[in-house]
Parts: sequence; structure tokens; C-alpha cells
Amino acid sequence: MTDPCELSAVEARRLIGEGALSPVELFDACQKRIEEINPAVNAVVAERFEAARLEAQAAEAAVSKGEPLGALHGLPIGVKDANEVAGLRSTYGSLIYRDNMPDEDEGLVKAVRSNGAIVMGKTNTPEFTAGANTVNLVYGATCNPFDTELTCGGSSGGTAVALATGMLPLSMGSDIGGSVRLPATFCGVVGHRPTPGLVPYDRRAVAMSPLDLQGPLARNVHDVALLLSAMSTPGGRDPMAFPHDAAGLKVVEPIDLSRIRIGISSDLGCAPIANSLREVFEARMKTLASYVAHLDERDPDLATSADVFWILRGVYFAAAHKKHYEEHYDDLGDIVRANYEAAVKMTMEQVGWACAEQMRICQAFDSYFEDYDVMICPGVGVPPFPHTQNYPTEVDGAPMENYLGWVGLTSSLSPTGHPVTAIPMGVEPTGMPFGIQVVGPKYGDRFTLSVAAALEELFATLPDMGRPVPDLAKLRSK
Amino acid sequence: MTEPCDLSAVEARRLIGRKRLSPIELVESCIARIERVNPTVNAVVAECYDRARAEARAATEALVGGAELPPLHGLPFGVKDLNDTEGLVTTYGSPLYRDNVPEKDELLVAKLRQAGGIVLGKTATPEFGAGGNTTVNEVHGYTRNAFDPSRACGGSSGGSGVALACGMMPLCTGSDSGGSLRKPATFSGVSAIRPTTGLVPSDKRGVGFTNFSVQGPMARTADDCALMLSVMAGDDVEDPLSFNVRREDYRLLPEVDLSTLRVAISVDFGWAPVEHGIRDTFEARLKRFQSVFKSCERFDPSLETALDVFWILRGVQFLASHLERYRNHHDQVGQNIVANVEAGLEMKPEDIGWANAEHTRLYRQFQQMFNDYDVLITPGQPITPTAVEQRNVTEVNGVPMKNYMNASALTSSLTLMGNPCVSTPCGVDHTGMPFGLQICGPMHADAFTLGVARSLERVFENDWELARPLPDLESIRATE
Repeated sequence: MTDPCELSAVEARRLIGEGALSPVELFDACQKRIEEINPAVNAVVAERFEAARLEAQAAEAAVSKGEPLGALHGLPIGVKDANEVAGLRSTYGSLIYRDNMPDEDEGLVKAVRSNGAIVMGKTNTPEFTAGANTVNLVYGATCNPFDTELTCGGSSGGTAVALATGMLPLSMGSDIGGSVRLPATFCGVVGHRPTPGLVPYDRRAVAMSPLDLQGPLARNVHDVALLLSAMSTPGGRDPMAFPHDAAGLKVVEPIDLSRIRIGISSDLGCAPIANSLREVFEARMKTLASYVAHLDERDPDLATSADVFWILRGVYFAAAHKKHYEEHYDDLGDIVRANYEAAVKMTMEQVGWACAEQMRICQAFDSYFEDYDVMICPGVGVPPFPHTQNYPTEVDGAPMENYLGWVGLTSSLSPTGHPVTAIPMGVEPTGMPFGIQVVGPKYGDRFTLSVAAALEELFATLPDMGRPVPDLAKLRSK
Repeated sequence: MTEPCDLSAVEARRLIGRKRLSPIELVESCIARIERVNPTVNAVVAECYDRARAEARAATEALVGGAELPPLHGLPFGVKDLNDTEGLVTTYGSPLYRDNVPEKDELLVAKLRQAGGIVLGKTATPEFGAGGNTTVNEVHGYTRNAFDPSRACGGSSGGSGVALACGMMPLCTGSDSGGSLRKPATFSGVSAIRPTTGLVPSDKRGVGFTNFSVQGPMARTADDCALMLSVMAGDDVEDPLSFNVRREDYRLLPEVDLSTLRVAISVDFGWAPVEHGIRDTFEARLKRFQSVFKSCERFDPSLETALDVFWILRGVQFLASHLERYRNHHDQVGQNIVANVEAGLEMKPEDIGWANAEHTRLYRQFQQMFNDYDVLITPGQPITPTAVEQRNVTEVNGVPMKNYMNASALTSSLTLMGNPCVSTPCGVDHTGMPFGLQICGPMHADAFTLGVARSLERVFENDWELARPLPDLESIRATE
């Protein structure tokens, strides 16, 4: 029989509702898996097993009493260490906050708990989520479960690893330039970067910005939709939030692919990508072409997007970290220091240009969707690199301008605010997970997820295209 | 007898639907009023009467068939000269665009026309909408207050405010960064709503993700604003901040029982510049109507840093929108634009970082107010209209103003929050000029906030001291 911790969230929730799976049983299976595997990968960095087990018992009692059950009733969930959970150490990966114990859940955590989820623990993140390699001075590195010498990506790295190894069925992440999508791709799981404002976020540093978004990760698209529905529960104090039908996101039907027009781009016309990955992408898209209405190569007009991203991200750094830089310089890591210093050296002209150019590319990218239902591009431009290396300084010999140079495939899609679902698609030549990004029209989260669900269903039936799974026996023996 | 041009939009639309008023009659009445009054006040700066008459004829013929009529069927409206209008000169108040005739309506105008509205002409605005005290530009000169042509009508939607006050048209478009819908509405004794950010999409905003510059309706009543808002609202892919709504939720306002409302009153947020005379008028008016509410308490939301945040974020907007023009067409750019771009260039990324973080903090704190109160009410404007020639407010009660937006703190602070703000007229001030209120509601509660304004209008209309003031059109003609 399947170990309960391997069940999908949708399946586990169904069984809980039917009384066929006890939330306590599920909790115990997840705890056992964490205790077995986590020493080898360091994904879960703080836990609340005792309190969580009591909540699982209460959840079990609620089922037997026939009480109304929330959408996530009894499902264990992981919270990125960039988010605040009452009474659970929340460090943001920073030495400054190594002993920080929040008194209150932040809005997002409240939203999932009010839907019945049980918070198991915190998942690792780089310092203040800066960087796509999950390593920090508080907890060290999180390892890729497919090869523990390599990076799991970031910044929601702990979340992706916990999911890939069956520690948890659901976990939350956040994404500025790819922090949901990159770790999802490197670990062979699914992540969704929503339309800005869909998931209310009450701790964002910049009030009116589509960069810093919270998003769900899970092992399949249906689970991601279930978690997105709970995360987008209206409420909280987010100036970007807008009224919408959160419950309507809960269930997505896979779309009929034979009617879908797909634009593909191996590099968005501007982003660095290793030749090995470009070849994998092109070969797999050739396979996909026979299952859809149209599949054309077409690059979006995003040539300036990485520059816009870099400047607007600088504003975000200046907003979020002035105090940290001025008052806690010694406790800050190199990356945050360097990013802050780069930010305050920008000129006002650059900031003005980036704001205006952002609006232009938003509108230009919208017109892409007049011809295509979705755009598909690779999930990342390089294979996972050693986690001891801060970031790749070159791609196939071409030097990278700054420490985000190599993430152009994800960061260029951030400034326009279009929804993106990252899904796995087999492995690449080095045997590590390969994945794609499915980008949909503005507001089209539900649509994008239903395309992703259909693709996931299709890939599972094609040779070497399904979701890769790590070798747990090898991790247990570490 | 009431002339058709003085009818409210809702009433005119009702009469058109019942075939008691023809769109031709209404359009001719509006044109006659413009021709009579506009030479003195200079609110309408371009017209398209021939096309309007043709559209009015078509709208009149459409009544015969008995087909379903769109919400603005046959209603003339004015378009702020910042909005692009197909085939009708659009200058943005700038000599650079003196002869600019757009080939296409911008989204907002297209929506209003598709809903049956008939463009009558363009209403005056300062150069690129920059300048809230008086509406003046190098192309069209001064627009004058209908209540006293020697005084300013406010801006930047000044032409729209004056056109409405004079009965030139029942509806006008406006836009608002720091108060550009609210100031001219108050100074002309008409109504406007600055909607929740994103409710009304714009395909022309220079900066994608910002609370600044929102488009909104101006009219003579809250119901008319709602009618127009219901057409303007709704998602559009061209605006990254827009979102989807049920438009009919805005057309018919909820009935708000004032006796159930908990109201927060703030004269000046505890620090914003407000003229003594305005303060006294506000207090006197409150005494007259505050008993209609369930409760009415003094509460100053914490917005002390809002002015600095606004000034910095505004600098970024100006650089994004005008730097190229400043560099390449310096001699054809007016003083407000030059001053604002130069102020922006002097700022540092650290300032922008601070402003963004502080903006976020202010927002979260401000929204908590609505746990205890249903709406916040402040004076509509902090000053009485100045002389028409005065470009900027340099002092209030003898205190010098730090920069040219300083005196707009009552409205610009709320711009940063993104909440809906309704301007409602409320009698006249200590100098006999229109006085008004600013009613600020919770995020996305635009219909509710307009509903509060409508209920107040009903209270005010029966009290000579509170009722909407009307300009003396006879005396306007006499000053010609």
C-alpha cells in the first residue's frame, strides 16, 4: 500500500473526508519521512511536531463528529522560513533574526490554517530570499535530493525538496525572479507564480509591485490549484489584492489540448540558456506539437525585461534592507550586502526608465496572447550547479553580468505579472530534473493551471517525460 | 422650466428611455449652454458638434425600434483633454501637441461611446495634468471658476468641473494623481469619485504599477457618478492593475442608512495644511448634519509621512513619463513639468527605497481604521479657490509650503492608500465659493462609498446651507 505521505494532497483530502485516512496517520507518516530523509537534504529547518500532532488529533475528531471540513482539512503543510508562524522560529535565513519568534501568524498562514491545514514546520530559504541557491548562515545549504552535492534552486528550495521527498504534500513559497519556479524545476515538482494580487500578502516591502508574490508548490497541478485556492482567500491588508472567486480555483479540469495554440520560446529571445537544455527543450516540444492545435516558435517582446527586473528589484532591496544594512551590517551575508550596495548606486533616471518600460512590456506581452493561448519556455537556463558555488558566473562560456544573470528565463517573466505554472518534464542529459514554464494571459491562473494539468497528464503517458522521483533509499543511507 | 442640459444624467437617461426626451434635444441644449457660457469660463477647449449631432440623430432613431438601449444612450459627455479622442484634437495642454488629432479613442473614451455616450468636446487641463491649483496651459489659457471668474477652478480636471457646474454636459471624465478629480469637483460644487486603484483600467498610464493617476467619473450627483463608473469599470489586459467586477454592482447604488454608520472625522489628519476659514466652515457644517450618523468621532489616521512619500514616488512618475521630453523639447515644456522632473532627478535610490517601504507601512496601518469606522470624512479641499493667476499655493495661514504639492496633503495622502474617495458638495465656504466633503471608504467599497454620498446628498438638498451651490449663469454672461 502507498505510504500516506506519498499521496497527493487532493487524494489525501478525499480519503480524510471519507474517513478512510486519519489526519493523525498522515501526520505520523510525514513526520517519519522528515526524520528519515531530512538529515541528508536539510529542507525542514524548524518543526512543531508536538503542536501539529495535537491539531491532527483535533482534525480527526472533527471528521468523526461530522463537522464541516475546510478545503485543506488535516493536510500537513510546510511554510517557507520567509513567512511568519506564531510560536515557531522564523529567521528569514538571516542571523539578525536567528532567535525571532513571531507572536502571530501572518495573513497567508492564517489563510491556509483557516482552511484546515496543519503547519508541520519551516522550510529553508536563502537569507531574505535573495538568491536562487538555498543556503544561509543560520541553517547552511539545502541539497538537491537527486544529487546532494548540487543545489536545489531557490529561494523556495526547502519547500521544493520537502515535496520531492514526500515529507509534505503541500508547501508554500514566494517568487520575485523565479523563487517558486526554479526550485520546482530543479526538484521535479510543480509551482505556480500567480497573477499579482490574487494571493494577498501583508508583508511585502513595496506596496505597489508585481515582483514579490506568494505562490503554492506541490507534486502535481491539482494539488497546486487546491493550495492556491486556500492561499487566495480574500482578506489581509494588501493594496494589490482584488475581489475574485477564490473557491473557483480549487478544482481545475485538464483542458482539451487539441484545441490549444501554443507559442514556444527556448530563451524568450534574450535569456541565457545552456545548449544542452535548449536541445532537450526543442526535442520535447517537437513531441508535444503533435498533441496540440498549433505549436509555433515565437519569442515574446521581453528583451528589456531582465534590465527592468534588475532595477525594480534594486528598489525592492533599498526598501526592504536599508535598516538591516545600516544597523546589522556584520550579520548580513555577502549577497544581501552586494545587492543593497548595487541598488543605492542606481540613478533616478534608471528607475524612471524601468517604471515606464515595465508598462510598455506588460502591454506588449499581452498582445502575445492574441495569437496563442499559452507560451511555453524552459523552467531554467542551466542544470543544477554545486551548492557550494554561489551562482553560475557563466553559461556555456558566456559571462553573466550579475548574480541574477543566469535566471533570465524566470526573472524576465516577473515584471509583467502574467501567471506562470512550472511543471516537470522528465530529466535532462545529466540526469537531473528538467521542467517547463507554462505562461498564461493576465488573470488566467485557472486557465493556465488547466493547461498545465492537461500537459502533466499527457507527459505521464509519454516515455521519459513524466515527473522524475529521487532515490529515497540512497538518501536514507546518508 | 428645467432646460434639458440641467437634468441629471440618470434623469435624462430615464426620459430618453421613455421617449420623453430626445438625444437631439439634449445635445442641442448642451451646445447652446456651452456657446452661452463658455466664452467667459473657457472650460471646453475643443468641440465635435457635427459628429455629436449625427450621433444624437442616430440615437434618436434607435429609440423607434424598441431595441435594448445601452446605459449611456444619447447622453452627451465631456472628455478631459488628457484623454485621446478619435478625430478630435487632443493637446494634453502642451504646445508640443497643439495639432495632435488621435486616430483612435483611448480605452476609457471607447468604453463610454460604446455604452451610448456622445462626445461633445474636450475639457481643459493644465499641461500633462501637472498642476492642481489652477487650470491653465500655453495652448488654451485660463479656465475660470463659474462662481467667480477671477478665481481658480482647481485642477487638473478643471475644465470638467466647470463644464458640469455650468450645465454644459451631464457627465465628464477626469483623472487624479494627487487630487485632480477631487479639487476641481469641490471648487465647482460638483461630484466625483476617485475609484479604488485598478477599478477603472487605463491603457495610457505611464507607469504600470502605481496608485497614482487613476481615471474617474465627474458629474453633478453621486448617482450620475455611479452610472458613469459602471461603464468605466472592469478588467482590461492593457492595465496590469485592473481586475474583474460585476458592472451592475456600480450602476445601482446600495441604499445606505446613515443612522447605522460609524463615521471618523478628520479636519486635517492632525498635520495637513488647512485654511482657518475652511476649518471653521467644516466644523459648522458638521454641527448641522452629524446627528444623522450612528456615531461621529474625531479620528486622525496616522499619515504624517505621506507627503514625503508622495513627493518621492511622484518624482519617479515624472521621470518615467517626462524625462525624454524634458531632455529633447526643453523649450516647449512648461514650468511645472520642468520643476517636477528636476526634483525627481535630485532624488536618490535610497529615497525611493524608503518611500516604498513607508508607503507599505502607511497602507497597512490606514486600513485598520475601517475595523472601527465605516467611512472617513474630511473637508474636500484645504483652501478656498485662489486667484485664477496663482499657479501654486505657496502658503496656508501664513505658513510657507515646502513644495508645490504640499497644500494638497488632504487629498494626496489618500491617493497613496488607493481607497475610494468621493467628493460631495456641501454649501459654500467663508468666501462664498463652493465647499465640499471628501468621503473615503474601505478598499473596493466604491459603490458603498458613493451610496453614503447619495444619502448625504438627500439630507443636504433640503437645507439651504448644505445644498449643492449653483453658479449664477446670468452674471457670468454679464462679465463677458
